[in-house]
Amino acid sequence: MSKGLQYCSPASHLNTMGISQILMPFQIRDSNGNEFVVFFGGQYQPATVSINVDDDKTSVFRDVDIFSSNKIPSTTQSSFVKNGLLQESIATLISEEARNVLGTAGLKRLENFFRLKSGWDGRDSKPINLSSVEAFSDFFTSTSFCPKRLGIFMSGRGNVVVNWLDQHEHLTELEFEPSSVDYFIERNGEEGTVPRNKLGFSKLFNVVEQPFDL
Amino acid sequence: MAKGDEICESEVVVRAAMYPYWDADQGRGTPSAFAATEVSVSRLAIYDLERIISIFKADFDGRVHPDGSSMDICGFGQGIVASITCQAETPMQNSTELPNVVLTVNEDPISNETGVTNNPSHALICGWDRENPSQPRKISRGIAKRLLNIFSWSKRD
Repeated sequence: MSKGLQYCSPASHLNTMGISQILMPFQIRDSNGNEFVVFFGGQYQPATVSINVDDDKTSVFRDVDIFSSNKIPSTTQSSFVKNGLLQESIATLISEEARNVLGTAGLKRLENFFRLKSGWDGRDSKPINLSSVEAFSDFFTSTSFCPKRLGIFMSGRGNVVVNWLDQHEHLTELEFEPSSVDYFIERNGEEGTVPRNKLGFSKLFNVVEQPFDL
Repeated sequence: MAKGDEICESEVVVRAAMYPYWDADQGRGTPSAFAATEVSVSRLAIYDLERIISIFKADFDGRVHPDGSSMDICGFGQGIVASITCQAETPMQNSTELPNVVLTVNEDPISNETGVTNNPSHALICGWDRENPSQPRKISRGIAKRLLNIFSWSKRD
């Protein structure tokens, strides 16, 4: 089961329906024949949950649970994202603070990650998880943290990973899971996990922004 | 030798530096390329480097949307099996205890899998729980950083 913002290529008749007409559960099939059952959450707002594209039947849903009916990775859908839609949706997915910390080149890398299908690094590797992108954005928005020379990566689990170097070339790295953040601080060997919430972000900020010589 | 068997310590294995794992603008990679329970590598004892890289490329390119053609395999790293496994046999910084993960490198030839190029040279760096060695365990990011450091990385021509 995967929860969060997901790209789906729904059955053709879905595109003729208003999003508010969809009842739960709803079965969809992507162009590879993979079937998913979609359960909509109760708090979505139609104005922000869907982006319908006329010619490739791609939609974006927020706060849905996707259950794969044939045990395949539940986010193979990212291969259907169109270039124009991708840029629009990234602009709405991440905050100005997150865009600033990435810079132009980093933003381009993030956009490219959306174009990778499952299996890009072996059997279990996954496409990008949009909840991870949101978690990344949330952290840099809530902390206004802006490390220099931030590198951006994607893990085989489909999560956004960022790292940067201190002045002694020691690495600090964060991996944004949908509901938590893993951190690693090379200067003292510390690694751990904080929850994706204000308290967790506050703790993480205090851990990673400490001067190296304390 | 068969699938799952451990590989000789003197062998050299190759890891692809795929686009998501290497930020060329910053000139560095991510330990997350090794922070998993199983990490794909290929054995130079079975195939030569060119053939291994051609398999890496075929499988990676086959998973890139046409709009993402700027993505590629940035390079490759080579590591000796003995050097890989010993990275989990020294304590981490600020600790006197051994890491809770043990590493092995095991044969894992790929044959007749849907959408994947056959690769008899395929192998896995595997993480195991030190207390319960039959139990898989994710390679910690600290160990993964060591692995990133000990692989000899080259740009792809």
